[in-house]
Amino acid sequence: MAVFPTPQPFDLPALRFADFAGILWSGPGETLNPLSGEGFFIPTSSGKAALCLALQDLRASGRIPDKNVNVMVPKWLDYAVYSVMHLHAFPSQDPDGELAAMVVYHQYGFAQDMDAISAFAVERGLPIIEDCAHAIAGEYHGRRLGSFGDYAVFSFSKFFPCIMAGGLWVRNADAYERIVKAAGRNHKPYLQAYSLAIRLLHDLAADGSPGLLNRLLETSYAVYDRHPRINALVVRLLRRQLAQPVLRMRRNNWRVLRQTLAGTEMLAGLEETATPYCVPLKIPNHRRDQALAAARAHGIRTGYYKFDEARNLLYPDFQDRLLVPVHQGLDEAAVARIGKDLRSAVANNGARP
Amino acid sequence: MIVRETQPYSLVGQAVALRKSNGAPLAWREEDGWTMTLCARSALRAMLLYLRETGVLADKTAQILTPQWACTTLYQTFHKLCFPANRPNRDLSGVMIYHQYGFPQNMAAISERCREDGLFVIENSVNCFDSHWRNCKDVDQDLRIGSIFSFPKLFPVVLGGALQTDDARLGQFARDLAPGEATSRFARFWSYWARLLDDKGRYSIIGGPLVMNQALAYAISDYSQDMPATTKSILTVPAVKAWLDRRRDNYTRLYESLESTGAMDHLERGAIPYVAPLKVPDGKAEGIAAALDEEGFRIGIYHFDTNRNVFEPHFERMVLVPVHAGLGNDDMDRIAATVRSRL
Repeated sequence: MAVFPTPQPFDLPALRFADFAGILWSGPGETLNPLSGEGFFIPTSSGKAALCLALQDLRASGRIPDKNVNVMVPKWLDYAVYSVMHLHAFPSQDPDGELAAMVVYHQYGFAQDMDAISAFAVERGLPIIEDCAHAIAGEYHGRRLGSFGDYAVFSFSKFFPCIMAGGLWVRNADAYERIVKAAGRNHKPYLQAYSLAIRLLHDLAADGSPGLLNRLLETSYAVYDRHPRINALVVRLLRRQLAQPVLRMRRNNWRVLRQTLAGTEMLAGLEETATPYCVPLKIPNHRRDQALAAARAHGIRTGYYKFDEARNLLYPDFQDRLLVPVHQGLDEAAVARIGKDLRSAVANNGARP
Repeated sequence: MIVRETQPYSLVGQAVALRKSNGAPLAWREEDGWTMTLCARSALRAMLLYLRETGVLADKTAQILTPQWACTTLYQTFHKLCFPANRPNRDLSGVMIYHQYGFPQNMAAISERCREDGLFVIENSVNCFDSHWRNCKDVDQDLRIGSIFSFPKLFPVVLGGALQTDDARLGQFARDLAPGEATSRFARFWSYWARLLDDKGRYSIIGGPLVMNQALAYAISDYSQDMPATTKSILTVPAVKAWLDRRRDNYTRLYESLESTGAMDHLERGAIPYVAPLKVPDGKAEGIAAALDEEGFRIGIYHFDTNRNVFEPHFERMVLVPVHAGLGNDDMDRIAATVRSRL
């Protein structure tokens, strides 16, 4: 079976009978708030819905006067993320322009330069929405990612096979009250049922030929803002997943990969304190094909994607990186084999032969 | 009956058109650079794909200046292939100019700015029936990549758009995209029926889900390029001419009726617009829109760029009124009287 570098697919082995049973019989279980201890947390149907709610709240509070007002965003996000933003604001790549807010994206779970970004935000009086879709855990200078801004957006389904689930962390109590009310007003259960069904079918078929399902999935993105509340059955499934050592396994796999690739340039700039969504490896240009072939030989559906090596939304430096999975669907031995083969493919520590 | 901004159509008329073409030629010809598409965003997608393939747009982070207050689905189509900006910046590759409601932008000023900054032009003509840029002598014709059109806004059809370009390679590129793969045909089928159901059922008790159904379909309609056969058989030369003449007459009648009020001073006499944006004194817009709504004319209040320049827009709130060919002299007089009564 194919291994996806990005979220662990919602494949059948991942959804065992026990998980189904958990939907029906789970108890209160784990807290959903990744930042428990401060602020307020609202479980949402998706990360995109959470982002929408945050922007909608900035509109409601007057920080974003109308939908043409610019909000700083990172480059290379999925088009569907920008699309949902347009309901409330206008995404912009220009830090020199007039801005009303910033969306800071901890790409693949690796922290942005929050010192530089926070200083910029304070100077310009901009609220920060931290996009923690890839950073459900992790920290920057000892402080949890998600706790730097006014809002933090999470996407549980990128880490736990639970169909679709997200969350919005909010610092301010008034904002929390507003958002809870808005989420109730916006919610259309029939659209949520549609999106959940399409997402489930899409993910189950992800190993096949999902052309039509891809299109259907895109249609569902168009209404993610219309069903912001998390589904009750998904909550039960998620609680069961949260009780598993999923994040510990992910961190362990990341440790194994680091050990296997130690001494190479492939891990350049990647901090060990992260809990990565996936790992963007730096591959020398003359070894790109070999490294890609080595990864694919393990069944990994991967490729080269842009990664901001500067870790700074304001002045990014996007370079191609090879994505490698470290999710809980892989055991330590598998990760070690992947690392070893990649190390061999990028011979001589990346130097030109 | 509720009158909206678009010319209504009958289901019988659509069914007849589906069964049989009357043999008259389509009003826009391929040899003049026209490619018929499913919708305006299909045409835009074809153009953006072409610009990506030819390297004019390096990747999806390449920026194009776009008009403010456009439909979110337009921005969505951009985001699939590049990045729309709504403020000028030094990283722009091109600009989309939008002749809002059919009234031309200040093309001479825009052309000069684009020539200085090395920007290409995509002409958003969704509220027009021909390319203003192509017919303008004061602009650099080489800057224009092409123009996109949306026929349901002007004529009694469910769905249909077009791309007009003087670049034969782009025209061929767009035609080669149609009819596309199975998913494209699926997108076309869904988009067509979603639009039809929304047009006919929006104000019924199931209006909400129908609007949502259309929102779902619009997310993928730009993947399909093929114009529906019904639309092709409706948009014939004599029919289009008659509808445009009627629209011009309606607009002229409205203009003359309201000329003394100043509500149309910012608009050109003799235009054939999509709708007429009326500039009314502060505090009057809501009352006029409500009065029109009571009379059955339901459009509302929108922002109109009175500076007519995408680089330096100046948006003002205006009351929109319909002028489409489904309306007659009595309707236009009723609209004018309603507006006058609230001014």
